[in-house]
Amino acid sequence: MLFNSIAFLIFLPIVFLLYWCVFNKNLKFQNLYLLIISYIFYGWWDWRFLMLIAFSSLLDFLIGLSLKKEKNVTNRKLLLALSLIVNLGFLGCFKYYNFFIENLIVAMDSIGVNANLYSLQIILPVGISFYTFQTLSYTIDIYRNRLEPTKSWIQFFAYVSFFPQLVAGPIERASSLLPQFYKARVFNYKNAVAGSKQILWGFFKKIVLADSAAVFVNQIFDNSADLNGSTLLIGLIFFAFQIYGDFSGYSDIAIGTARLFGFNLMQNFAYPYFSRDIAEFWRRWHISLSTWFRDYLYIPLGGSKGGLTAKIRNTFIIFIVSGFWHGANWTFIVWGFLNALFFIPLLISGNNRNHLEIIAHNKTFPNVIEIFKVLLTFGMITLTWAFFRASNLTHAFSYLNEIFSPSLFEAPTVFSLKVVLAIIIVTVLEYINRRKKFGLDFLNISRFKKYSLYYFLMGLIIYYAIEFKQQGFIYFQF
Amino acid sequence: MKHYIKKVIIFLIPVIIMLFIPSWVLYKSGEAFNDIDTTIYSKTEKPYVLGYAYNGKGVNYEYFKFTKTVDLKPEILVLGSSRVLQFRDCMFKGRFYNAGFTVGTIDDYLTFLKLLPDDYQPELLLLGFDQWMFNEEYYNSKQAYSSSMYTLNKSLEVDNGFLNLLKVYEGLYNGKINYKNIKKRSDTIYLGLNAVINKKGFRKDGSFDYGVNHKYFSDFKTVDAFFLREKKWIENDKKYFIHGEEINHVAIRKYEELLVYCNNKNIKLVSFLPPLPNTVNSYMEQSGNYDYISKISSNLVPLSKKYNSEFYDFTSVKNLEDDTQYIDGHHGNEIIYNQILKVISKSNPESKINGFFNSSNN
Repeated sequence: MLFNSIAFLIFLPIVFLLYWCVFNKNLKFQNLYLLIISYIFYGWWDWRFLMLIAFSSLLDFLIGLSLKKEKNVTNRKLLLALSLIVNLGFLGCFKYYNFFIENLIVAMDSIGVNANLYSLQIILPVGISFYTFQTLSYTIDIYRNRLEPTKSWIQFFAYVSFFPQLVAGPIERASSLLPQFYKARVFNYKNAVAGSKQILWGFFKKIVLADSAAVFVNQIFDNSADLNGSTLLIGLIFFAFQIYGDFSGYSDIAIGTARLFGFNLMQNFAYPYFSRDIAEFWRRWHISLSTWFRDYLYIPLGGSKGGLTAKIRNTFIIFIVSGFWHGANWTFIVWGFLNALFFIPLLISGNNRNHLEIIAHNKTFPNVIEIFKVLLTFGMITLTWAFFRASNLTHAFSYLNEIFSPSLFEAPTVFSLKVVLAIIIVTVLEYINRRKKFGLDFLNISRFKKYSLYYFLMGLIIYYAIEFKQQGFIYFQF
Repeated sequence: MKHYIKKVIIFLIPVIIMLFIPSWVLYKSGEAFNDIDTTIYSKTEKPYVLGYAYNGKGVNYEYFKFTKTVDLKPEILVLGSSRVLQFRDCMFKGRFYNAGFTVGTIDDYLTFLKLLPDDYQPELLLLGFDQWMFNEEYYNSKQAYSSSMYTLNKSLEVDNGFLNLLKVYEGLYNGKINYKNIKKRSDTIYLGLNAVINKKGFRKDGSFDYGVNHKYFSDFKTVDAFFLREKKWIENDKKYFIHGEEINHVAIRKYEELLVYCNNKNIKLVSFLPPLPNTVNSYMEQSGNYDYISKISSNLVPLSKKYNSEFYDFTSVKNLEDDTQYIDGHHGNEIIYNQILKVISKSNPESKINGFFNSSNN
């Protein structure tokens, strides 16, 4: 079920009312109810894959209990290995099988061996990359003795399949989200109001910014061979905002929806395009994934401890794995590699933790140098998005090649003021609220101004939904 | 909790009302929330008119008509542009379907025919060509349809009612849409706002009804005013009236491919050039820039005979009907198209049409 579908608009109020009015009697009811509606939500897309998520949940639930009981180090390692192999095995099978087979065929062909291997028509289960990481965090944390396993299968199954963040995150650690299933939720008016506002803001970013930009991005990327450099540059900038609106919009809807049900999810985006360097960008972009990789991959590899070579190696590994996590395509690997390349100089010079506070933290406007840094960082990130969006490496290189050609100075042939308007509104509102959790988190303005703003945003959502066809969420494919 | 729900409801009431009214109009009229495949495979006995107002561009009628042809398997099939849409089932004896409005270039006829299933071919195929299909410049400016145009349902917008909400408000504001005509019941099923309000759209037999609000010859003060659009096109070398001296030989070759295909499949093929109003013909004569049209017949008639087929040129047949019988400057009405059949039938007793033409229909 897509958040931006009529089905969800009907689903949400019904499950919300039943949750608070009928199934609020005790904790078990609440959790069981959440589990059922989460499975309905997921099964709406393809019910067959419910078996997969149920199997993953059952396996990790049992491994969690066994890890608690097991004192023998070797056995504990074996149990953890079982969890890793099965979960990553599913992920590899569904997401990466064809990639490996196709590349193996090419590699063997290049040395003159005719490999008789077949790629398969595999449907990628929606959200598998997200919930796999979520269940893995559970077994790994228990293995590290940082988390107590739950004895209730309902709590654990509800945690893995919690519908607001099931298909595209934020990737919640068991240590943060699971304990919230241990206590009965009590309706909190302020939390619900804040959640509703965050949902509205998420829809605005998705429908007004991402979906409108998508129309032009698709047009430009699909016909890039026939377009001049300036048009391709516009396509790339629009894509930078499309992917931000799409993914951070989803995260806002997810976090807001969770708040309606009494849960707090972690902030997934913290105004990344206001970053002054790449390191800051990665602290603000897809935070739940970056921190997951930091805690479960970068630190176990040695992190920033050890020599310079180890630091550089670990940085490349984490960025390339992060790229590969996004999809089985060389374009994502190059995207990760480029980000690592931009990050390394900051790491070597010890400047990777220069900007821990948001831009203009104690003042109204940033200074000229800060603005320059923001634009430079945005430019570098936008450049890498070409690889993220292109269909293959040849496409990405030819796309960038045309941008850096004399045709960059020709008039663009595709442009949209409506997209620019959406970019301006999102940027301005997020800049004003950059110290808050989301772009509509106003506190100190009058009720009249607040409601005028909400109706204005609502009007724009309807207007843009009419004008531009609604699109699926980009991150559903990952 | 109650306070929150109250607040949300109060906040959403204006939005819900704003969305409900046009959604109801779109749903009730069949303009949206309506699957086009359901209409195609509908076995209703009732006559219907299918005409979208806002979703018109989103609906690929090519898919609709091709799928409908495959579903109905008519004995008599009409194929062409919008200029064949005036052929009705009552003009023929036998199972009939008008698949007009599905071709834009001369290449598209064969694309359409080749996609028909192996177990079905029409007995009589009536093809209407547009004169400009044989104009080289016009031909080069158009892209032939790919087969997916006929086989893929691209009419997604039809399902997406939200897209046209504001347009409904515009219609309500200027009075085009009102409660009465949305609620009105009749023996004919009207699907889509254009059909509901203007009675304009495709009929069950595939022919086109121009509806009640179309402006005909009598609605204009002068003859020139009625044909103004075509006059400007002729003067400015535009649209269907691009100037041309020589006939496009690629188009003739394509026509021959069609003849070969129909001959191999034993399809009785009758093709023709639809008429243009006398006034438009005189504009074209005065301009002296349409020599290619006179060369169509001299090339196509002998070619057709070679493949046991028939070709007729009605471009400037002056006694067919007068200009008042035209829908606009390049579309004749049903009387004219009935006349075309009569003329073919009378002038050529051997014509393949004779076994199928319902001469008792007047």
